[in-house]
Amino acid sequence: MDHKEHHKPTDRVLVERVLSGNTRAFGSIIRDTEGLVAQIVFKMIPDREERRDIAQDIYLKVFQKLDSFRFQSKLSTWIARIAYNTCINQLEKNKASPIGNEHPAPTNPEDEYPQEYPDAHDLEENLTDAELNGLLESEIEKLPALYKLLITLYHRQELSYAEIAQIVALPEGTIKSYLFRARKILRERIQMIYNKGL
Amino acid sequence: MNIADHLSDIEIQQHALDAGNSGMAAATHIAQCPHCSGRVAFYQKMARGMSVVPMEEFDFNLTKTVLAQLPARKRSHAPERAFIACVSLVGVFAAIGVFCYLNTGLLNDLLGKSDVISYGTACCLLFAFLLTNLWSENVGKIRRINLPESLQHFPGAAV
Repeated sequence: MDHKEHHKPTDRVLVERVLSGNTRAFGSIIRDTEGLVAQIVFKMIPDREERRDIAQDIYLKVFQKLDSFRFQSKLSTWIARIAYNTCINQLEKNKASPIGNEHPAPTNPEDEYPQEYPDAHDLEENLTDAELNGLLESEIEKLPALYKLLITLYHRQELSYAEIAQIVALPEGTIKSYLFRARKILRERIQMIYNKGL
Repeated sequence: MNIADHLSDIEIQQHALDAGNSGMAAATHIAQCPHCSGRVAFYQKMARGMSVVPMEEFDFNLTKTVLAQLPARKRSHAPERAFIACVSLVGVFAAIGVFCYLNTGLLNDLLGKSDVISYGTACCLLFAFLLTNLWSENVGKIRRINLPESLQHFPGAAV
């Protein structure tokens, strides 16, 4: 833990400062959580302009609702929950657009992909880290919004199943199951691309 | 387990990402089966790759933009505190006045005893501190109860 991190004010201190009228403390809350919020917004909302409006909307809601925060979770988790709900509302508004077809819960993505591919042994040995990372980056973006988000929260943000469950309001078992499916889809797609020749 | 009967994808992933919870039978099979061990290795490589995928960032200064739009938060408790302080002061002065009026002789005796004065002052200060503390705690709670639009009043949204 570095020196700066050690002296970071706690969630409770930050919230109390904001509630007593200190807007700089709210700036600190934004800086601490905008990385997580950005992951949620980028994975859920494909339109760049919409993302900008939604990000602002999320933090204005956080500011308005801050006095109802009960410290039963981390402040970042609570803000992420507001971010997720705001994105869901936006996706519901966009129902007619193609974005709406991707969300929320994928039906049965396993049906869309053939089950049998050649051995993974070759892949593991022959695909370099850089090639795999490039493929992962592009293939994660093609996943349904919820899968994309779960993969990012679990693998990139390293949140626990319990924290993810609080954010997306799904049971932990469902989150594990979606993550299994998402990783399977990724593996199969990468194998398919590899077999066709990078 | 026969070496020809490969593990399911879920078992492979469980072993790859959480080897401690995958079970002895699965671990033994994976150790003997090149097909399954290849898949385990690939999932582990994938997990490492997913943990370093570049993170997206907003291409504008979110903090600045949001802070510029914030409505001024009312510091409504400040007048309440001033009111309480005034009422308390008036009460204290009134009590002292009544006491002096009724016990002029006793007061003269007491003023000669410094320990009584210091204990009395300490008790008054402690009492005032406890009262202020109790008040500030409960005012916050009462305000929260009175917010009908509070997000956490909705069972689905409570965190």
